[in-house]
Amino acid sequence: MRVLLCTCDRAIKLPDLDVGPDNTIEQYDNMCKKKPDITHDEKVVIAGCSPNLMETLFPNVNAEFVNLYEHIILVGHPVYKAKDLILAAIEKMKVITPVKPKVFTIDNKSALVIGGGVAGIEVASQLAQNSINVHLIEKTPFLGGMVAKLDRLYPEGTPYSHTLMPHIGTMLKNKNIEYSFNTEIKDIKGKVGNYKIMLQTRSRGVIDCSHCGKCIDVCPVNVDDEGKKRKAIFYVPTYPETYAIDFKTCTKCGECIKVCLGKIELEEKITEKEIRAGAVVVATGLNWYDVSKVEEYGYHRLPGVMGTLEFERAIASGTLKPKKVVIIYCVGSRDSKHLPYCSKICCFLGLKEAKLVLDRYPNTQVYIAAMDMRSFGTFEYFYNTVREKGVTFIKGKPSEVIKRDGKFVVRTEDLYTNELLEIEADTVVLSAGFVADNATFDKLGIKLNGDFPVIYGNASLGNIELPRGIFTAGSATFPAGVADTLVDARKAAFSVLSLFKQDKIEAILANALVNEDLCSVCRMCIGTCPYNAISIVDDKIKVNEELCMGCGICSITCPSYASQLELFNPQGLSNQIKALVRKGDILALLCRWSAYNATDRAAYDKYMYPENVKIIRIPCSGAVDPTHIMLALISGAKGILIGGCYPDACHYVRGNFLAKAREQVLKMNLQHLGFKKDIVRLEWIGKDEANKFVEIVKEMNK
Amino acid sequence: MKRYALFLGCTVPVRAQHYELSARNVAKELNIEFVEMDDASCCGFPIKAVDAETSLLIAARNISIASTMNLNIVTLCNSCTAMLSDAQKQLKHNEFYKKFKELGFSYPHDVVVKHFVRVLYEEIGLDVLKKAVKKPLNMLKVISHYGCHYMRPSQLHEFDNPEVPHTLDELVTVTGAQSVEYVDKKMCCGGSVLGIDEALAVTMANHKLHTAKNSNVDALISICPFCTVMYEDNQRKAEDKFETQYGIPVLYYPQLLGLSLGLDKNAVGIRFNRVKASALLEKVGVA
Amino acid sequence: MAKPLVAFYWCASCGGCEEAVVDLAEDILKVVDAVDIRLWPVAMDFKYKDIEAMPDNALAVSFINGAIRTEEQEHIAKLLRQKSQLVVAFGACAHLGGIPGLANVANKKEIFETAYKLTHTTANPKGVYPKTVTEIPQGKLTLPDFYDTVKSLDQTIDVDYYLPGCAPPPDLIMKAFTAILEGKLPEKGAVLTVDKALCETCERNKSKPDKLVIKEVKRISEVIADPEKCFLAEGIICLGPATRGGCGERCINANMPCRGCFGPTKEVKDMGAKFLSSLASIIDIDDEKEIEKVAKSVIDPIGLFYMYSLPSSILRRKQGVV
Repeated sequence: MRVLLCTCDRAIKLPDLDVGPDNTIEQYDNMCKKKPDITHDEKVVIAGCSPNLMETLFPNVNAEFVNLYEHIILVGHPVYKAKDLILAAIEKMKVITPVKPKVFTIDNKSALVIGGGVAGIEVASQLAQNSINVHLIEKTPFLGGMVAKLDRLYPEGTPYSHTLMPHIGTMLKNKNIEYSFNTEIKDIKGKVGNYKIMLQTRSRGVIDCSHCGKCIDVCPVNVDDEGKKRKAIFYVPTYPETYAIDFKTCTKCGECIKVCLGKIELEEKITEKEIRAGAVVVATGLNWYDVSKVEEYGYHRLPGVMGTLEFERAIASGTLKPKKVVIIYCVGSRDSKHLPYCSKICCFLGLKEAKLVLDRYPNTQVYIAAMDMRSFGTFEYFYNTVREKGVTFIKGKPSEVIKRDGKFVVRTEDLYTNELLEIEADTVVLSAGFVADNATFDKLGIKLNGDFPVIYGNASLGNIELPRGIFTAGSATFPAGVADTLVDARKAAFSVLSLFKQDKIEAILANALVNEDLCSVCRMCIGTCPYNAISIVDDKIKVNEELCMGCGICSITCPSYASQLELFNPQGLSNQIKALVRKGDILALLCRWSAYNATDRAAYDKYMYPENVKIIRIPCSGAVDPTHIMLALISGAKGILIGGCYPDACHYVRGNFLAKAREQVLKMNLQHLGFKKDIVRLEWIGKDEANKFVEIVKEMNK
Repeated sequence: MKRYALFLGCTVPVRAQHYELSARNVAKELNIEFVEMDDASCCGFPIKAVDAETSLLIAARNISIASTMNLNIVTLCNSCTAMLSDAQKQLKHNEFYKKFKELGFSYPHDVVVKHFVRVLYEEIGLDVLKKAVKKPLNMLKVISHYGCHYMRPSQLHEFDNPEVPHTLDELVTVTGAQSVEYVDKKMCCGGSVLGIDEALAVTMANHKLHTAKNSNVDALISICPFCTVMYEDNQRKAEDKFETQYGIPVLYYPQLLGLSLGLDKNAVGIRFNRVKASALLEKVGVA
Repeated sequence: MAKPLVAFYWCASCGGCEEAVVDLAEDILKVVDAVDIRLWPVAMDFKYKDIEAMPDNALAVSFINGAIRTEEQEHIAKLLRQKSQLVVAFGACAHLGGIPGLANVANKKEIFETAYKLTHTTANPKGVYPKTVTEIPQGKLTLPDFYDTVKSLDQTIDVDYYLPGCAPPPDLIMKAFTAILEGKLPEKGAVLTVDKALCETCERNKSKPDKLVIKEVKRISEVIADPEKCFLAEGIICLGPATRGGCGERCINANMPCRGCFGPTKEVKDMGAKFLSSLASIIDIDDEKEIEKVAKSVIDPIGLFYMYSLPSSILRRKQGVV
């Protein structure tokens, strides 16, 4: 192993450093000016200044960094420490598995877009215009998604078609888009740059269409399609122009065939087709929460209670002319029994419905019963517009909707007047929250646990340093209005284009590897991973490379050392501790994101601390095993400090909570084994809290 | 033969003899054996708001008695049901169990606590009841009052549907009587605030009596002695306060069921009903 | 051909390992047929001097059970090592220190005080303690010295193989025995069972939920465990994930959680520390105070985490009392 020693302009002199027969020392006066070459697969020890600087000089190397400048020179500690630190680092690196570069070849530069709503259309359009081949699949027979079902888009009040049709038109101009309707994905295999997707298409029913519409006249089946009346054979004026049969409601009576000038086949067929793509964009849009679960509002139980979409379609088609409407907000949202979060756009949707009905029927009485009005940004103007139209706003959460003497009665509190109100109405509209499309993401191997991808930020769809292959656009990311959806779609398209600009990506990032010879599938690790990266596949533990963030929590949890984190494993740290700690030392195991940086700060600000403090940098306070503590104790340590991030600030979400749990159980054991209660301390030390670090180690040194 | 430890609580033996009498006689008809719980005490409910832990320990003591008998508990009162169910669940938690043991109690066998009406629904079953009905009460119209602690909180009881309750209605229907749907079925009787704000409690009771009167029913069916205290014992107060006449008999469900099973009026303890049910009995034909 | 010479010896043990050999039932006849037993204090009348008289390496294999706690045990262990080609550490006490190893939370002084003075049923008005040398008119009487610290066998002599378990199951004993006789042994220092934790073969493993987390720790004496569910999933501590398998999960099948008698898996040195790390990691609580409460609800942590393995752990014993 090479030991690369920077003497910091000859400030460090280590003439009798003996690194053993298998290792060599290379000395540099200023490593920052003349960087040695290090290959990706060799293991090295780099001794110089703080890793925070060194890591930027030497990214992606398998190295243990020894801090001589901030930890010895600046704080005036004796030079023998440098020897100890370097030799200990060598002991650690001996057993480390070097990080294998994860190679991704972008073999296929075409994209699969799942969803033919406004988000999918925009993504497909942008990609196609940039010469990318796109396959767009849509699970219904027509394009348009949610926007095609709406009447108007607010706040402008323009009909949906004014926004949707131009976008469809632009997209259709591109020759390099293939469309599959009535299609969903069955399963997907592979990884970024190389996905193999099995598509499943159900028959459309109408093979050849002359657009005459006679079939609709003769079809005997009436369907209430979310507030709009249609037949089992129907048409949506977006694209394509061929009519379609809704086989869920079609009775196969054959009346349509009799009058069809084209061709209809009533036999339901399912065909499968395998396609390949380099990237997948999920644009599956909005999914409403099933509000029949909010039983007190009587959806499905009391006919006439409807959701916002049904209401809008019923008003737009003229089939509903209400005299008194109550719109209830936050149905299922911000509720520990249903959805704990806020779905962001429903407040606006409710205002939209209010304006819609008042524009058509100005004499209708409209009430909005809401806990809050979250009309963020410029929607506040819209809120004022609706208020001026004479809508009555009641602040409070309705307790129930009942039917009394044929009318609806909405019972609610009014927090402004401190009264309990009963509002009679002939129509009750529920503005419900939205849920994430778990089904599609499950198929793509991404576990959301009910959350939206946006909640995890970058981590949900993989480590940001790894190339992503699966992107989201529009409301699949988080519920959004049309304007925000278009922006989000363009962002997704851009991400795909950036990906496709590369042919081969080599990502060097430490992952957890599972040694199948040691793993007994005890499942202890699965629940501890903050990123849900561990699962059971074919009765074996598998770590999803794309989700693993390299925190080391699973490695420490594993009772058999079967889980090994590349570049940092528990045995390496054990060896390092045994080599480093002398009798009377204080061992400080400091998290690289917070506490370790405080020690650099201490050096710069000249907070002096005792020389018997030996510091080791660890990925997370959750990467410390009680075994390490015991090794330090047996080596004669006077005290052990584990420094981590504050409770709500762990870089790996909850590594510090695990550290806390381990510390508590460990402390009990140590007390029974004759040690003082605070021989081990777990402390939260922020990256700038140099004085806190110094105070603690001074206390421990007494 | 199904055997249960019968927990009577405090109110039933003193103020609701007709509930106990009808329940025991119905049980006999249905081949259910009630075993007395020696040394059973109050369930603890009355002091729950003052000292929750003590009230639970008092309840747990009763659980311990049944546990030693190796029998599940049947209760007649809603509050007793809630109190004992809660205590039984608390025994699964280390700290509570420790205190329980320190008081010298033991829990050798698992005990399940159910309201008598729930036992009829879940363990006897509507089919058996239907077959046992000898005298269908098709001539009667009633409203069914569930009370609060029979199903709520849902996480404790995990029974019926607190938002859309149906089990008592179904049990009433199986006797032949018509259980009328009415608004505010889920409303509380007011019993819990009787001691603090009588006017409010009586107003709450009045609300349902008023609905009962407007629905032209022959009786209000109750399954809890506290609720009956409000609707029956305080019916006169409501009449006085709201200057109206009700005269609505309040029957306990076992009384109604007993009549449908062919029991005579004495066997169901009609003589103990404070609001006279003579008109109802005439309709049924057991005057 | 001369039968191989074999010795069985017991150090600080309960006698259970001897019974395990007897538990071989009819198979013990095979054993007796195949070898020539030259030392077995519980069953045969050979003396120490018989062993001393042998040349070095005369014994093919010595099976030594029990931990090392007295001078005599240390002496005989060393003697047997000298006279044997192979030494097998037989049972958890020899392998890890065993239950006698729990005495390492005390020292000789405390132990003698308790045993010879403080216990209720002891009547020792003159305060007589055992001594290594006692002068009597007829001469000197000696007793072996009683050490402060219990040691595992390999902390005293070089050990070739380990047969784990408290006591090792008969089928494992037979397998080991056969392997020795046939000369088909793994590399020196191996533990003669599987390398992986017993969760791999445990029937209850599949009953674990996808995410194994616990919010409360329950004691096996205070609940009735569901015979089909994983103990850990119910909040009952089971050392299965950290313990080598190969025992047939006899305890689990009797509805008792594993206590770790087979010792840690291949790469683990300190079983207690490793398991406590795993157990603490699955405590699913995000509140510091609540975590402390759960941790404190583990009564007797040393008895739980180090029931069999205290002497072989990193710290080996309670500090500051010796």
